[in-house]
Amino acid sequence: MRKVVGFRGAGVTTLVALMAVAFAGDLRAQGMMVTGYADFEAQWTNLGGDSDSQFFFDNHHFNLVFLGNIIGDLFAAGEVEYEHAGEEIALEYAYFGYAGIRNFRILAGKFIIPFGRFNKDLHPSWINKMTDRPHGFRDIFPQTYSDVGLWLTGAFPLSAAGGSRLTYDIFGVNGLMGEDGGGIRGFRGNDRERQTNGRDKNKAVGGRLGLEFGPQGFDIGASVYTGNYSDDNDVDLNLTFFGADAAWRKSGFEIRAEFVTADQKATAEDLRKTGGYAQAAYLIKSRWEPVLRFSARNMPGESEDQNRLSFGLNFYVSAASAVRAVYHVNSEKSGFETDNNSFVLAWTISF
Amino acid sequence: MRGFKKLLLAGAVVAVLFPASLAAQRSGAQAWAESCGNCHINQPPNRYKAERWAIIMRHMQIYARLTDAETEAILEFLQAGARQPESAEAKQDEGVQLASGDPAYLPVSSSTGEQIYKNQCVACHGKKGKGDGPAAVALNPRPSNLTDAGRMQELTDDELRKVIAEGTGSMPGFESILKPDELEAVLEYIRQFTAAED
Repeated sequence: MRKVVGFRGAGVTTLVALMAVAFAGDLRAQGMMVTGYADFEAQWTNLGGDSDSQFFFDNHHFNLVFLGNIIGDLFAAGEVEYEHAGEEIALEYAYFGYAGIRNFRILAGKFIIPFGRFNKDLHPSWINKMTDRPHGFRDIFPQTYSDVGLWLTGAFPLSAAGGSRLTYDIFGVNGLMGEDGGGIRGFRGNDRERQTNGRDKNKAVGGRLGLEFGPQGFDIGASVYTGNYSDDNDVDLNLTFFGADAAWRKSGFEIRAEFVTADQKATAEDLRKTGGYAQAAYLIKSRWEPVLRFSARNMPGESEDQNRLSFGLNFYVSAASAVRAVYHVNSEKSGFETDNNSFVLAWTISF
Repeated sequence: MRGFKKLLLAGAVVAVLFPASLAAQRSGAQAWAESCGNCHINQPPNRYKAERWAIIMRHMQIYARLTDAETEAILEFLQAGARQPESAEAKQDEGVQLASGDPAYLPVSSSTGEQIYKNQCVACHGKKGKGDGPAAVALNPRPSNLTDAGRMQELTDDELRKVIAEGTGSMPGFESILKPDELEAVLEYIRQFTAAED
């Protein structure tokens, strides 16, 4: 489960500051708006398993997004997420930035790490064509991973006419932190303790380089993240992610894939974790969209290895709302089957 | 790091292999169709008012990784078709009847078919209906040539209404955007492209 940070820390301070500044400015000339997304899910889990199946409702997300153009080229944004009917309240991001230099943005604060596409761009439930995150972006790259630091981003046209561009993201953040050889998903968090206990002196850096060919509907990217996640026993332990992503779209048809690998140093034994997904979707008359996704994770040892085949069907009520039905077929690769398949029916909106 | 370098090299190779795209002129409508649709269903220009699009695009530039020129072009396109101001004065001047509670509706009940066509259709079908709008190049199948008299005569009004409402091929449906009288108005306007040749 995601660590709940609540309304604490530098991120929240940033959000409060940006709201104060935005409302103090001329809203007609600049302005601020509140938007967001929400979803309602009905979930059936452990289908076909030995134990009883379970059924429950979830208000998985009700996330409020604040967007502000402050003064001149200054802007700011924040997202407060209410997840699982408010059981988890957290600050997804809260940053401010400057856009006064052509094709260059600098942002400071808490932001979603621009690694690959799913973590930053595709995870919101009104965008994600499935109702969950694919393997590779949960226990390996800990989506949704946001952190505090600096982020430089932009794009350059590959010709004066535009249509194709080189994109870049470069960031430096506090970084993931946790126990020697521990699970990466638990490494997130920016509480004050980790700033003062002397354990996290080494920041993390990384970025993504991408090429986009708009007219062809094709884009590719390569991402990296590296930093020490622990210095227990005065031994620096590094964690490095590499990622690659690609997508192609034509006439309502879309194929995308992402791959991520984590090299995690550990005192006992270095760990390598890999995962990823490939997904195909076809939008029919702007309403119906069948989706097929295969995702897999390979963890140290085989007990956590898993393949997942997901079948989805989306119905777009409008451009701002969709009903999604997804059936997941899970298969463990460790020689035993848990038959923990699941079915999710979700209604999602952006507002 | 060796793997990362290989990926960068592969990216450079792909850039060389796509020279045709480098010379393509890209309008705001094209950039909107291609870039916004990269992540999510394209949002219709009239979902928000013009000033809101300005805020949204400054932030979406970061998420869509757009150049400044592309961002400005998309903003121009979106603001051209944006919702009209909701002030009482504007309503009186324009005969506005806001569709309460549904931001997707065009606010101008008395919009002429020509106005609706310019806002919603011209990006793909072109000013004169020839299917050569600025977004046409990005679409497959290409937008229909509405001046093709033979083709248009084959289509009954009911069939055209269905296409406008539900979409076809790469054309989105507009039944959630246009009210019934607006759909009729734009249908009538589309018919005039071939009426002159009858």
